[in-house]
Amino acid sequence: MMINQISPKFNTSVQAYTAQTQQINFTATATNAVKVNKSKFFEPVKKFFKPYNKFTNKIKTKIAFGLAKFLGNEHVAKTFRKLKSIVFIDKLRVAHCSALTGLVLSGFYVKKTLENDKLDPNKRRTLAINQALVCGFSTVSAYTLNWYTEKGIKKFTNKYLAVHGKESFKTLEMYKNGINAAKSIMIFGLIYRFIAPVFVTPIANKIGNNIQQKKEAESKVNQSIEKK
Amino acid sequence: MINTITRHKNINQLSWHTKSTASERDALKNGLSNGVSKSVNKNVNRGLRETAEINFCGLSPNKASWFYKSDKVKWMLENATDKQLIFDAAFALILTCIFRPASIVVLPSKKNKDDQKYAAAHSIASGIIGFAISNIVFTPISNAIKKIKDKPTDFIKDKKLLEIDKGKTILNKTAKNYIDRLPDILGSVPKGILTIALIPPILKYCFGWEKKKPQDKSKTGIPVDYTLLHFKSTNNNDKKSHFVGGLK
Repeated sequence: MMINQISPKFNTSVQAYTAQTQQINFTATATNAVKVNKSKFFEPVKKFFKPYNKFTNKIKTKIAFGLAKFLGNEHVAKTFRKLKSIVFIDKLRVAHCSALTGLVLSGFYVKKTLENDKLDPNKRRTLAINQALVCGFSTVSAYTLNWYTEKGIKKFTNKYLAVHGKESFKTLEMYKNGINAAKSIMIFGLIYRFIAPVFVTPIANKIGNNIQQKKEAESKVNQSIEKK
Repeated sequence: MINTITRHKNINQLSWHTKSTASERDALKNGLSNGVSKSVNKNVNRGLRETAEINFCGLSPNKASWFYKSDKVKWMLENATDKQLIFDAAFALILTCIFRPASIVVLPSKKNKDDQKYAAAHSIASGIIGFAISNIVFTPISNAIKKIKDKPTDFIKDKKLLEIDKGKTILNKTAKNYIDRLPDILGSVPKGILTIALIPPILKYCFGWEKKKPQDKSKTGIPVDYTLLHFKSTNNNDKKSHFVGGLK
């Protein structure tokens, strides 16, 4: 059916609408481009760190040259090239970094526990094994969760990029990298800093204590048999 | 032609024809009443105010779209790309200051309430210290990396570390990422030591909390009935029991 046959007034209103929407879409993208990075949520924190940020802005060039020197080192450059060539490592590099930080820190705590003279040698060992197991469990579960959420995050990324389709390629690339990095950081952070200490450690402690008590009871029985 | 118009993206987003009532649609077909043109204009104006509606995982568009269009989310994603350590520290701050203390207090435990409160305060203090240390130590490094990322050719001479993407020379993404996270990996141990060392004074002077030391059993010992030492019985009628030692 021809639109002219319906109503001439309607025809003109639709034409006006299309013209206005085009204008509005243009202004909306323009305002979006300007509005980015204007969050007031962290304003007090930003104010607190303002003098320090001024100082860091002054020294950042020097640090940049230092880092460039480090990157320019032959061995370092070679390592990065090797790491990039392995697809599994390169794809999950943010996750690997988070896992490595967790492993280093947990290793330090295990070492400290083993060196603690205030604890019984048996209890010390049990505690250290406990800590190591919790760390291993957290790492495995974080990688598993990271893998499971990959599909969902891909869908989300596509939708997010579709909504912001009119922005520049560089910005879209930044959004894509940001979503992937945020996902890995949040999953590893959630497991290492929340699920492991609140839910896993108490259970592991209970198991450890039970094993310790059983061992102590067995040793007492053995001692009494030896005395007899 | 109306067919060409309905195929247009913006018209689909409008969906005025689905919102209009049956009577309005009938009247529209006749094209007679003025009320129709008014209602169409009304719907068109309503449509102008609404932006493109996309179905988000079955959620109603209005509920989900705010998240996709939010400037805070954009700002967060920018920080997750360029300042990963700060982003990590900020997320840790949220976890350790809100979720962990809340779960410590809410979840059933054999500990006393005071102990639970102390554990919650301990978590908050560790989160604040961790965030502060990360900000102080890692902000200059993150800023420097951003500077290298913006102008890589000014700083890096080794061309193997540079890539050409869409006609622009950029820093190798892998190198950028590891360099960004390397201070955290190397500095996690000193950061942990510093955090553990700073927690008690911060709890004491900022929150007014001090952990009660467990009572030393060897010092307090077993409660002693001093009447036995004085050879004094509780029975006052017994004369012998008044003997406290010494000569009469």
